[in-house]
Amino acid sequence: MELSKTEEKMIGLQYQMRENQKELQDFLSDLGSWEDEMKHKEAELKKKPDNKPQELPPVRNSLDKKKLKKKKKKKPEDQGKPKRISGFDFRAWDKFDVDKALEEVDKEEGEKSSSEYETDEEWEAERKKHLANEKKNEVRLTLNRYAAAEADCVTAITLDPLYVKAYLRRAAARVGLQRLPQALEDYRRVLQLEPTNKQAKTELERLEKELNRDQDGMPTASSLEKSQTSEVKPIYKPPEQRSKKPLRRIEIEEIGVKENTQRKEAIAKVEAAQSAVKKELEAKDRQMFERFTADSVSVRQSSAANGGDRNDGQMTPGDIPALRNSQMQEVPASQQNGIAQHTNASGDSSSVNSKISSTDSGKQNSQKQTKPSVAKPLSPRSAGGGLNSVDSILNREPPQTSYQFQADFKVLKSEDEAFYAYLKRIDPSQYSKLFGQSLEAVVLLKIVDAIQRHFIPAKEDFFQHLKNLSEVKRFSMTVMFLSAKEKQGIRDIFQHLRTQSGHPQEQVEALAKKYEV
Amino acid sequence: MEKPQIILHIQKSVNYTLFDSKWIPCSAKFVSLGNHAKGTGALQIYEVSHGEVNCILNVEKSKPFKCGTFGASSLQNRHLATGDFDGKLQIWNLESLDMPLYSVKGHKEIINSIDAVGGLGIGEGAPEIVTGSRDGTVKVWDPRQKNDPVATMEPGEGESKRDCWTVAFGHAYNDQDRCVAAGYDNGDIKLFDLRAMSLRWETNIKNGVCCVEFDRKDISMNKLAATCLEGKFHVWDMRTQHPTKGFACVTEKAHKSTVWLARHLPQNRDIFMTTGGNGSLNLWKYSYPANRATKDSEGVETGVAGTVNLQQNVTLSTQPISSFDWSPDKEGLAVCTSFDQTLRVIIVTKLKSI
Repeated sequence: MELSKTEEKMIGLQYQMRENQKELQDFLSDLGSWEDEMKHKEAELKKKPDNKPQELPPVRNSLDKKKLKKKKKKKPEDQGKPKRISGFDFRAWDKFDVDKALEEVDKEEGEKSSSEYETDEEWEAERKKHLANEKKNEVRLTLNRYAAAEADCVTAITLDPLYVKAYLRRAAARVGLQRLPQALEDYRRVLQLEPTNKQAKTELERLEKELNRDQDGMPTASSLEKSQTSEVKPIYKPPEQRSKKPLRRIEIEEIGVKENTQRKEAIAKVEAAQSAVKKELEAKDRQMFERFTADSVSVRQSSAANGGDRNDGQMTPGDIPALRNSQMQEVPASQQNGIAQHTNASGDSSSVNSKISSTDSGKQNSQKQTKPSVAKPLSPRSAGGGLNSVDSILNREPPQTSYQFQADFKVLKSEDEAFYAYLKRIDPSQYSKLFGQSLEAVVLLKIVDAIQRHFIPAKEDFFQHLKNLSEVKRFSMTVMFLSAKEKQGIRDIFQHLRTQSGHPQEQVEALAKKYEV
Repeated sequence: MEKPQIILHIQKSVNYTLFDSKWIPCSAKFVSLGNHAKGTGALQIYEVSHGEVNCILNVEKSKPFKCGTFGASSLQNRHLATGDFDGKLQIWNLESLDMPLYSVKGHKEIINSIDAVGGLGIGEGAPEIVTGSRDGTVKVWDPRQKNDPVATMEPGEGESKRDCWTVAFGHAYNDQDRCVAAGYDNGDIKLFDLRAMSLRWETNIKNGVCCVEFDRKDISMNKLAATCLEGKFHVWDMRTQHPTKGFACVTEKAHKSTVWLARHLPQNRDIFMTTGGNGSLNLWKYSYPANRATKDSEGVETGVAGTVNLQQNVTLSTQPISSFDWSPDKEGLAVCTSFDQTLRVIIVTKLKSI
């Protein structure tokens, strides 16, 4: 019997239906048993005691924090590792290698000292005495802020003229400033105070060699730096670990000025970085020093050689700048002329200065003649022509650089009116730029003076000036060193500010706090 | 003849709007989550038993539940993580539902989607929960860390916040590697690499992304399915990523309405169900090409997409099917919920013979 196509299809469909039905029935019966199975399984799962907590990975992104913490904890443990041996543990003491321990102590110290000028552990004891100064000082030496470090040393020396470390530090700072003769002088003083001081001896020798080399026209930097490193860590630092780079502050150079004047100006600038107050202190210190030490050959001789027209006995604080200036000029002068090979390394303390200056005296004298008074001798330009005359300064653009300001200030500081006019032309917001690293007390006092004499009578607002001044770097340091007398001036103008000006009282008070009045 | 059948096994009406349903692992029970008319949250547990579903637990919570997952919990504990309308992520012990084990206000707005990995023996590494919210952020949580997400993916400064509709874990095949795919209302799909903590890939499929899902969470990324508003879905071959072209993709029209979900069969990763806005279910099979990767003209490997074939099609409701969950323990058994306030237990036969 033949089946029609529709019949075939019907049968196929029926078959499929049946198949599906069967499949479903199978599934459902399976499902029934599965349900029972699941109930059983679940019950078992519940009965089971809690699984041991699996070793799970740490919470995401908490990993880094945890690691850091662990590291931090470990470090102090490591440091504390070297255990103290008990006083009664004789066996342990028998095994104890003293030499080795000492070596290790030395090594550690060598590693710790980040500055090449770090001296020795005596420092630690001394530090308490001069804590405030020293800390800053140390930092500055490490940061190569030699000028500031030097200024601090000057203060320290005034407080205690027999304080050897301060001399050493100042010498180190002066080496950093490339003012080798002055550094030499400091080392010599150290030797006078402490004839056995090794550091001073070696440094002195080295510096003298260095000066000789300069005069021979040899390159300077490399030998200076190398010997410095070997000086501090002579034994334990292998050569490949030694710093090859000279740690030196690089002076900003102005293009278009002759090298000679440039150098002189740079020196003058550094010189100016010391305030009058500090210079005064230094002068006192010199006197004190002479009282403490019988032998003061170097100071006297050098001053005698430089300023033939001066009487040693009449040294006044005001003389110091002139004296020091002339001393400083020896370096470039001797370098240029390439003389003074006669200096002997054995260290006759006065020979360097006196000989150089004597051979150089013609030039020195000519310079001296251009310096009629103490007020203006520091300006190297004044000899060079009318460049820096009061009028020309006032006609020029207001100063753009700290250096320019310093130069102008030299000329203007004795001219009240002109300084006032000059000050008025400077935008107060430029102050922090103009005064650079530190605001000298002289400048500050001069400005205060100008405010007292001119701003207040002219009823001009000077709040901004004061405010911007207070934002100059290391302003607080400068203020800290002002004497009560000097602060009186500041107090006066603040009194005026409180009563007269229209500025909010809080602002004035906040500013007054900065000025410590 | 060999076609699989989709059979409605049991259906049950409830008195609240159903948003999600999930099988409780290692049991014949499932939970349903939703929103009571008065604005409270509904959480119910049903047991399938001899052709019936029996409600064995019914609790009401302050905020409506939008989504839930067991994926971050151990098989032993089977804690349910939920996301609610208030932006809260909570973890519940189903044995004592009075207080959540873990609760954090993770998002400012509704949590649209939740996924988890690292529990139930699925996926290597730490148990983690990912939530995507209307506030535009995708956050990854570790139940061991209270209060703060372990990773947050949010639009950068100045970028507009898009409503994140869906999130999915994948690529969790070892301790470190893990990816999160997120789909947004503007058609963006972003793939975040949690190991590198960076955006690995992104694309735009023009229409709002209703659902993204990896075919498997616990293997090296293999396929990613994404469904969208305008009756289409896409499947990317995630094995080969071309530096510029990204991943190879196959696109298919389905349901003639919004494709709400794509759910891969746990027992066979190449079979998946899509659910439609018209109340229909489509069963698909993905077939790989002969070679899954070729070299392009510059010699860079580029992926080759496979093909998808419709295996079965059935309409169960007039309302969109909002959730669909394959039973992890019984192949072919599934539960789905629809906006007609009905939950349905589905049987799919002949899955083995496809």
